[in-house]
Amino acid sequence: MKKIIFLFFTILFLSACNNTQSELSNVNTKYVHSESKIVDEYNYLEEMENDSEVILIGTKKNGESYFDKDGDMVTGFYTISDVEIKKVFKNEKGYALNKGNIIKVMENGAFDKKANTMYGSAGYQLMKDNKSYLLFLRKSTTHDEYTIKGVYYGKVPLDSNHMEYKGDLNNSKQVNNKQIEKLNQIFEEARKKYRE
Amino acid sequence: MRRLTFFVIIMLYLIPSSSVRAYELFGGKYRNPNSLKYWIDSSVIHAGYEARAVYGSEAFDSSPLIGTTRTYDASQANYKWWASTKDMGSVVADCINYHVNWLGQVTACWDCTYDKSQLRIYLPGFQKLSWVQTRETTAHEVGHALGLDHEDDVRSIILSKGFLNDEYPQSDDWNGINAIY
Repeated sequence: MKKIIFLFFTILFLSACNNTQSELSNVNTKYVHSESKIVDEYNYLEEMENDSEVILIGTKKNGESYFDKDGDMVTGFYTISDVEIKKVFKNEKGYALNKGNIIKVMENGAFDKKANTMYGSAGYQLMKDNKSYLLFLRKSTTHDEYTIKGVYYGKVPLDSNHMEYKGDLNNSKQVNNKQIEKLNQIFEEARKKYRE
Repeated sequence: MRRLTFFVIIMLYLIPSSSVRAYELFGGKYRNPNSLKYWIDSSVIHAGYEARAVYGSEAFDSSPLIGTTRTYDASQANYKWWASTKDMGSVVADCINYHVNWLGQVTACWDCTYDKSQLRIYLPGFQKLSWVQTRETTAHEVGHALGLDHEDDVRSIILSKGFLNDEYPQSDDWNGINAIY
């Protein structure tokens, strides 16, 4: 019995250490955002729906970040993420989008593991592995991948009610409270309308 | 008299709360705003946007506080312009500011003393813009490089999304520059 209790507390202690470690690494992650000129603005869900070629629910499986540099300075960044399709709601141009297919989605953010630094356009946060998202997309004009409409507008987290968006990095106010409210409202409407 | 006092108190309370908030600042600035240098990469020149980069770089030069000249030596530049052929979705241009310490180490930051700004245009989206919008975009990015944050409450070239369809910095932008420098 003593051995079991000892084993139980040892596992509990080790898992606590592990959690602390991962939280610490999150705390220590540095966020850098680029000040981006964004051409799309949506006041209502309907505007974004009409402006999207593709609307689907998918799960991010993994992603790879890419950087352009000038010496030690990052000049450009993005992540190509594999997203497994769960349900397609709109496919305006008849792309090959079937349930279970993996598509490539370009995200306006990138994580530099070595420097533990997250780069994001206009406060964009990367999709999390194995989490589901409602995505409003269009096909890239230069690569075999999809881009997210309105950078962070077209990426609605479904596994939580969070926006997964950071508009207040490095003392910058990428958006004001009114815009945060608007984004939240669009997300809430989208979550109600599109379900798996 | 009581009514008047009550009215004055209410007005004093309402006036500040209803006032429109103007320019937003990052909290950082260039140490040498009167002698800034910009450099344009061949990727921008080959794409045919050299004049847009020149316009944007000098868009704030009518302020006596800001002075910008072109350099052909990349190592001397404060602003560096690049062009990418990748479709970046809704993003047509961006800017990251850097501080360089005495050891030559660089740190990306917005609330610091700036030494370098990396400015990038994304050609697939940029090429779809009108002539005025391309000039507005390059001036917008240089506004960021100088320390102006997005402003959507009043007319400003630093609006967060979309376009004014006006290539010139607005009075709120000049007020922001005056406040920084």
